[in-house]
Amino acid sequence: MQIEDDEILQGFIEESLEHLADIENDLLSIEEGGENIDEDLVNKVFRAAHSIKGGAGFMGLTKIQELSHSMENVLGLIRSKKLIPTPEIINVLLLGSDQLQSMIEDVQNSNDADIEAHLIPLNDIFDGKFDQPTAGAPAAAPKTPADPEPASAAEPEPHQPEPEPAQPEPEPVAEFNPQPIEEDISPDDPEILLDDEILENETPPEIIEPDPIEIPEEKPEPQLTAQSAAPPQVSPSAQPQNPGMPKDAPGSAPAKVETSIRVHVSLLDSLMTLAGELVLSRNQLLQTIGSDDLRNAEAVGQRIDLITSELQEAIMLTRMQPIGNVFNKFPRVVRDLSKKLKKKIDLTIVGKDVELDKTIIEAINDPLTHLIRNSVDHGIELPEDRKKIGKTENGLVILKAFHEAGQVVIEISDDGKGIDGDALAASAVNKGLLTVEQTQAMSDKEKVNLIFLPGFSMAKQVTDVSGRGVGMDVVKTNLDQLGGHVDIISEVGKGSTISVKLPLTLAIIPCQIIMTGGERYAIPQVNLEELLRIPASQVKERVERVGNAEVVRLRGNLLPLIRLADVIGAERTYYDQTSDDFKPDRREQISDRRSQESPLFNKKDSSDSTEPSEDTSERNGSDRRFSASSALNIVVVSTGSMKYGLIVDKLQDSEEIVIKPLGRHLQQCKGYAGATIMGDGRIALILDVSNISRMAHLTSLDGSDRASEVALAAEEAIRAKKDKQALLIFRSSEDEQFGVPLNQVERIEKIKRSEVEDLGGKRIMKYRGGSLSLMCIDDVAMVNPIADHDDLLVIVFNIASRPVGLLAIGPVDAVEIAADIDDVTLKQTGIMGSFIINDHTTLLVNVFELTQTLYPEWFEDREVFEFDEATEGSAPTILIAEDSNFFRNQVKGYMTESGYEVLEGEDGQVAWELLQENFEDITLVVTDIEMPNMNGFELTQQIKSDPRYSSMPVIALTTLAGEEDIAKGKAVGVDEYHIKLDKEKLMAAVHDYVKRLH
Amino acid sequence: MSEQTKGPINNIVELATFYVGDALCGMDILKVQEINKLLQMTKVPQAPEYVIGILNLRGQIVTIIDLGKKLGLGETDLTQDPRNIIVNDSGSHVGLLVKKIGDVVPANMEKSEPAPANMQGIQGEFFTGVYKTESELIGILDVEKVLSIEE
Repeated sequence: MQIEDDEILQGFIEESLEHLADIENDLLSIEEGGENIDEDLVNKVFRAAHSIKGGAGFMGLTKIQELSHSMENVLGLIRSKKLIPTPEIINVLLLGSDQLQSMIEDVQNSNDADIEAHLIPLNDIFDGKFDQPTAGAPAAAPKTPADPEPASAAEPEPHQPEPEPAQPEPEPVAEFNPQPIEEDISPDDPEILLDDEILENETPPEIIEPDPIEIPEEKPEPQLTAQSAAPPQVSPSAQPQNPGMPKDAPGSAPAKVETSIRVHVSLLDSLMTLAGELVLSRNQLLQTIGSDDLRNAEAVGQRIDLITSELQEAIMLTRMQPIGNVFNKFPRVVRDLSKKLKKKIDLTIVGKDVELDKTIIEAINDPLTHLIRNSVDHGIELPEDRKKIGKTENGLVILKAFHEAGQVVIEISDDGKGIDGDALAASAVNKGLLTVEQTQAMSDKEKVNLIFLPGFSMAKQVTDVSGRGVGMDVVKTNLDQLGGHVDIISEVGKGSTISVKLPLTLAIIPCQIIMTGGERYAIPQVNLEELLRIPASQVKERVERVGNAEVVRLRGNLLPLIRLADVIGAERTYYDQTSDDFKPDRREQISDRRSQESPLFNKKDSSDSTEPSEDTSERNGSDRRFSASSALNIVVVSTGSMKYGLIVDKLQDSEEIVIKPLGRHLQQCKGYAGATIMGDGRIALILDVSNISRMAHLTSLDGSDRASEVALAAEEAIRAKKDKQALLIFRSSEDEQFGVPLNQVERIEKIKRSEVEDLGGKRIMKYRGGSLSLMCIDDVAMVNPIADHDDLLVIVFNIASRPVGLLAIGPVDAVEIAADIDDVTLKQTGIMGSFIINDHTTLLVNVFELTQTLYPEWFEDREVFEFDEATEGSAPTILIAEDSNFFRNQVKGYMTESGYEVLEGEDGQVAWELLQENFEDITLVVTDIEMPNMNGFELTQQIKSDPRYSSMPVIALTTLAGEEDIAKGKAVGVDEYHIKLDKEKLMAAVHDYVKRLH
Repeated sequence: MSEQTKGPINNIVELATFYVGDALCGMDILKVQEINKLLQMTKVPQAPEYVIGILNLRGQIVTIIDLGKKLGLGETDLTQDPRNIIVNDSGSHVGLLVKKIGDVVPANMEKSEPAPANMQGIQGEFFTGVYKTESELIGILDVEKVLSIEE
């Protein structure tokens, strides 16, 4: 048919679709309400149908008018309470609105649409004839007009009384979920097929299947021919009945793209104002350019900067849409699907108002549908099963959107059976994706995340075992493309929560700018984990080769390294700081310098490197290691489950950039996500982090890499069994270096010398509204006096529950050293000992002793208390297990000072033997964690599992109490954790336990 | 040769001429969006060999193709003040880097001749024909062919 006025028609379509979107949810609410009719709601639906009817009449869309008229009639009855909205009636109405929607979307052909199937049941309802036919009528809907008896198809049906709980009507109705559906659907359509379709064709056939299910039994053939567009394995009625989700029709591949958008007038006004201001600023700018007035130009520049950002924000707002647009269709999805699956599910939706960019809203529709369906289909158990395990019959699915840290988080949680990570892992092993060893090294969370592994989705046994894992990799890929991030938390038997993090917008993204091969590149911040600079002196230790890959050791993990220049095929260069330019880099491998490291060679090289500009052509891989420029700049990026380091020449700023597409000639370059224009007008390419990893043949979550990683880490742990101690390094006089345990430091403040006051023979400064006592190391120890600098540092400690400051000068640095501390040679009051770091002898300061010497009065109470404690009975004996002499002596010192008897063992084994020999005397065990022969965990476990000692308190000492260690310790029975060298806390705990035991 | 039949009245077409290497080439001036000499190019590693970089043309990213390389005449010397001919390529813009811009030559396309298989070392496939003026021979560039992507 011909439609004259496009604009009016367009307006009608938009308005009607809006109405229809509301109708669906409102109908569902009406259904829920049952007899308690919410008049407002019914009125709303009535009005919506009425205005569609009106519009359609005006436009000459007779079929739409006819159908909406029939619906209006039925709604009118409901409104006047002459009709109780049973699920069946609602169903007819829903199907009607679906049909309306499909007709409105294809308005040109709407007058040719066949709506008989909807009109008949609607009119029957209106005429009060609606009885059993309810069941059959919708089922008949998909039938062609050629089908002779829509009514007769309906009538013979009512064979299965439907135990609908919410159904007030007496009549047995058969339409939903008769047995055949499962037999019909499940055997030949394994879920894999169905679920994959969701993503590919976006056909949720089950959604509408409850209604036409009888069809396959009765007349399979006519339907198939009639609905040739529908894929054969899908119920043939899917397409015409499912206009509610136009995207879902297999034929309409391109997603429905809205051509217009509603924007609040106030927003338009503010845009207008901003545009006006921009024009004014432009005029100003033009004037200034003529006048040569620099200061004015600066002001105008600022103004334009400001207006532009405001304008950008305002325009961005016009693209923002509430996520409710997507969420609103889920009640229907859940309703239909749960009916089909005979489950009882409540869907709670939170945060409909959260706004996201239009493009994102459109793109998350399918992944979300898939996730919701997964929760309903595989997550929630059948009501009987739920009852058996003590859950409520009704399963709960919660869909929640909220803002978090500049991103939008969408959470889909269910209280179903959860995902069994072990089953997934076992299945992955079966599929040959992973080896048993690899799965053993995985945490539970990693196992659950296996669901995202590509290739997993097709694994049928996974679906059988745990029910999930179908097409999840596709979901993840789709979300990754949006710059999103998916995470699963699941507890077997309790349910799972899938959280999806999405950026607010895709148009402007913050990026880290880097340089390689003399060109700038941008790496999206969403992919950025951290920036890592490995100083030249550490490259040797930290970069290693595993097989063919170069890896860097990062906090105990191995991170694969990719050299950006190699992957994209740019010239390999390095940044030479001395001459501030990029020079070609001819090293084959990062670790090349190793082979050339004979001492002789080194010496020559390092002398060379002092004059780097002398002759660059003579430079080789080795000497570069020793100049500043040979430090490695690594951008640690992550994409999905993968994390790797990109080696780049130079790191620059982080900037907000606008993505521009690359021309078609460059489509073959997979490493780029686009390009952007930088402030200087030149272009920088945006890197596609996940494609780069693919190009470098890194595999995600890859078992083999991971396994070797874990193995290596374990090996390393054995090799470096020595305790590491984190120390803060500083100076007091220019040429003496000191260290204190980092974990004792509360804060470091920069002060001026003039802030230090000498009062009453004590040095103090004003600090946070009080006065802070200050001390210098040279007050107590025989070291050089503090340097006469104007700028000083105050390292604040908390000793005896009071803050105390130690005056120092920079440079300060935090280092981790192995505990080979010499506690003899340089020991004196205030100095625990010494160690060597970077060829400097460094004195380890005993802050406690310093304070004690300078402010003995702070400790008076405590000393008395301690002696009381000790003299109460016989002196309690404490067993210390510690492999490092230094620490053992320290701890022993603390103990004997407080009057305890001490037994010491240099490892867990010795301590265990000592404990057995002197069981009677020992009150308490203090143990290190990392020890040869028997470590602290093992010792604790032995103690706690032996009935003789099980009540003996065990205090564990560590250099750095990590969460994991603490958890592990608690598991084996460690009573308390303390940090080595934190004398105060340790002693307090020891007193505490001793007191309790006596 | 399609120009022969669908050209304007009298089949007179104005040819924008330019030098690729030493060869004089021409194309319908209506296909030319602009000619510039912006050379602040950004190299694109991994790109096809004939793409020498991308350029910011008033906020649009323009791919620059070195016509010399594309036609097999060797790289265009960037130090000799070459020019970019910006043409429209299915909605976006592409720049063709040429050595030098020549005159605009009105040409009667009816008089153009089919391109020889090999014209001054250039593969004939990139030309729709050859046009003879009194003094010169202009190869008429098949822009679509040049912009097409192999494989």
